[in-house]
Amino acid sequence: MKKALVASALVAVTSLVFAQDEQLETIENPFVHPAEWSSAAPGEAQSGGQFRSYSISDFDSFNPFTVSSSPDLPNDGMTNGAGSNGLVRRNPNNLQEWVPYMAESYEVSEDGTVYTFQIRQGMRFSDGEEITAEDWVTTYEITTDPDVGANAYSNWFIEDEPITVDSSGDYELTITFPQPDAGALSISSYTPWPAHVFGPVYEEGGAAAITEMWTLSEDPANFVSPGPFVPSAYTPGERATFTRSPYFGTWNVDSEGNQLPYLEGHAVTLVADLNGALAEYLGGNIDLFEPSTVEQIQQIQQATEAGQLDATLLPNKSGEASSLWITFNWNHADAPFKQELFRNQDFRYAMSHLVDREAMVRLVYGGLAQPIYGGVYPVLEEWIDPETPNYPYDPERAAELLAGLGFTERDSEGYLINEEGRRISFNLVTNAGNDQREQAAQIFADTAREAGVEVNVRPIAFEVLVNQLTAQGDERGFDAILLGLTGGDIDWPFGSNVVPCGTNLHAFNYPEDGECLVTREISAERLYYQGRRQLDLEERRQTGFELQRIESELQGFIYLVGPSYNPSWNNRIGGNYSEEIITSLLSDALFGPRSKELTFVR
Amino acid sequence: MTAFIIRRLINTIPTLFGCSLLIFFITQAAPGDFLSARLTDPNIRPEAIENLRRNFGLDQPVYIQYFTWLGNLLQGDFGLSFTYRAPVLEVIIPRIINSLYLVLLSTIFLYLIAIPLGIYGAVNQYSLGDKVTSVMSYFFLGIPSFFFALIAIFVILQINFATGWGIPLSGLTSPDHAELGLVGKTLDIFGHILVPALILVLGDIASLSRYMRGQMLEYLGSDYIRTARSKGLRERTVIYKHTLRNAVIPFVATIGGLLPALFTGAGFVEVVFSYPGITPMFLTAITQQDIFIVTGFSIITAVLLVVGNLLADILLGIVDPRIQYG
Repeated sequence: MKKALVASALVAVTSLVFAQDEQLETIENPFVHPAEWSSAAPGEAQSGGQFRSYSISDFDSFNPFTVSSSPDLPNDGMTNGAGSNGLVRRNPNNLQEWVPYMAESYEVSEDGTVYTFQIRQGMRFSDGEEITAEDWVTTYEITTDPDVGANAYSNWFIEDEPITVDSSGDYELTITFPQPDAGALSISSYTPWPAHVFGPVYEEGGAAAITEMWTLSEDPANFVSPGPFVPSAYTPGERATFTRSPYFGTWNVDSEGNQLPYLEGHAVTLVADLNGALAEYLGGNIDLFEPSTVEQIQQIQQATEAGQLDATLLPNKSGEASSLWITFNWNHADAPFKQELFRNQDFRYAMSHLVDREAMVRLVYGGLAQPIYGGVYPVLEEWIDPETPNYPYDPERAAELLAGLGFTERDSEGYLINEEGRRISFNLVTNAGNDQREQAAQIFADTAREAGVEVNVRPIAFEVLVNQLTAQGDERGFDAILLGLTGGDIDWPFGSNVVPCGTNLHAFNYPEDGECLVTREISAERLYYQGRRQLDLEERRQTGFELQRIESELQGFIYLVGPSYNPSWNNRIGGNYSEEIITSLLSDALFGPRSKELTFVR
Repeated sequence: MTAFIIRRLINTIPTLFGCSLLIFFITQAAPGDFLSARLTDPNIRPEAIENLRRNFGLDQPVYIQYFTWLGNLLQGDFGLSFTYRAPVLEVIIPRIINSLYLVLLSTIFLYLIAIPLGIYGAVNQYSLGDKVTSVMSYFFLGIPSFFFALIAIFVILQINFATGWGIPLSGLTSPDHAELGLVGKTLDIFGHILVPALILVLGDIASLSRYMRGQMLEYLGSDYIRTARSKGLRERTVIYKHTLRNAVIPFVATIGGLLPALFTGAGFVEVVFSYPGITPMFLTAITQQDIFIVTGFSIITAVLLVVGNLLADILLGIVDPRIQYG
């Protein structure tokens, strides 16, 4: 009896041991991640290990429909980031090329409005359930419910017309656009969240029930992920850890057939202070840090040279997808003198000539930035029109233009005055606490002072600033604002809330009736909508060039400088994109310039 | 005594009511609201933001929002955090507990170090030890704690480089915390909070020890002490039984402030050390205008302060027989 007991115990233990080593089988038709998507040598990548990243801002939720922090846990922790791991995916070596990923193939109708996707069969969520068309449809329904309040809600409308998603069967999905749109594939590549988890809850309790799901105190065993990782633990304010999804490797393999991801898991540590994050990076406790100031770069360089840290640092690798600009208020009926001045394009050209961009690059960013003259971020090289005229730093030309406006004499304090003795004097507001913006504003004010223009720099609270910027009316309450924008599209790099008249970030002119004031605004708006509809890349680029020319002649925004992207990572981590192609556009919020699936620990 | 306590408790009701009014309206007075920052996102339509505003109840007039909030508060519902979409208590209690570890340890250090230091300084007045302690006290009083914390991080980093030790730089736990045993976990946490706790109280140790020294000196010079010495009592009895017991009375009164201090976190030291306490969350809530976290936490602090002061007064009555409550 005893022997039988021991024997069966032995069998149980052995089968347990072997069961753990058993790998799930790869499906017949997995997605093969091309070897060119990583700089690793063949066979170099090995399985196992943890990637350790950090986040400055705290996480708010695991719920993919209600998150609004950046980086966020569902998209950046579990998957490859919103819009990078759906039906189609961008080729990192050529961002305008789309590769079918969760779809096997897709077709576009003649008129460019209907996209039909054949879904890859056999894909599974982290809990083993199959990923089918229903997951896309349910995710779409929940996202487009206005009461859920998803950030992505606005993505599903083109000029206020809705985009619709339908399925026919388990493996065919149709996405219909109200008109052809350059961003169609980008919108279509949204992440499918499990219908078997969210569907029943939505049916029973509606939007309110959805917003209560997957909060930070949810038991990690309940999370289901369509991506390479699934959450394993979360300690409030400290750390979120993720572990490999066992089923992901069955439909994602590398070029040699090994299941992905290589990593065992990854952890995101919350480090509230940037200095603390740098200290952790130098101490080897986190694997990624992207310095933005010269001091931080110097510290990394010193640590590397002294042998205390084995890391790669690529300063000034490319521009960031962000811009800094000054805009003047055209809706200033309470100050007619200023209103007339700000509406005059020669005045705006003169102001652009007074921006010493090189000084800003040097003094504010320590050389880690570049001058910019238009709204298209410099990192989007192929979109920048080389022939668009701009208005670089040229105080003499500025003086000429201002003289042409009647400001020829100087008063006793050295300021330019016109015939009636009036100065050019205005307030420039920016957000208090942002050192770089305050310094840039001061540099502009100093140069303007020399040229005889009186600029009063006023740092104010961010919320007040935003209210002023987005206010609509004929007396909008500010003279000039210095601010910046980040993000946006790379398929059509012009803002839908910025270029057309009557939108809330068309910040220089936002009158009560929402109408354009000058013909250039009308042309810009027309070109904006025209470009959006052009599916052919070359045609769209040409339209983009035309639009940039008009915007430059308009100078609604006077662009200043764009900061640089300086990636750095610990050399224990491999799998980054090849160094030649690395730009800020390829940088994952947590993992940097690499694909999560192909990252490995040496 | 009971009548005294009941009277005090009744008196706190208008105080707390006034506190709630002030807290709520000052928080609301800040321009903009939680959703203001989203207005600069070029991809979000203004209608979507209006919708959210309605969902959060931010479009109601302020006084209606106040009464809704107060009503919920009296039923124990502190509201929902906009950022986390979860009940406020659920969100802040883990952080308060983390802060509690840090502040408790630092308070223990405070009294363990400051009181003996003060006594030593008084008893050995003007000795070399006293002079050194005085200089260091003024030094620590002058430097703000967060600056000291930055220097400490730098020093720890250099030590780590030089010796290869892994002294923790920030946070509460190491990445492998979940795998350690109970003893390992306690030591892990202790190792992380040791340096922040010390830095937190350096300024307070300085001021408390100076104050203690001053108090002791004042009582050491009094008549009854001279009598006690001339009676032939041992020096130790004179110092600890007679002088200290009198000198310590003002500190009992300050214990009232200890209760809220235990729960309100360690201030900027938590931010610099990326410690997951209540202060970083509170700061974030303020900048993001997550009003229910701000008001909920402030009200908790106000209640604790009132209760703490009551406890301190009772304690004072026990320690000092001259005080009578009628």
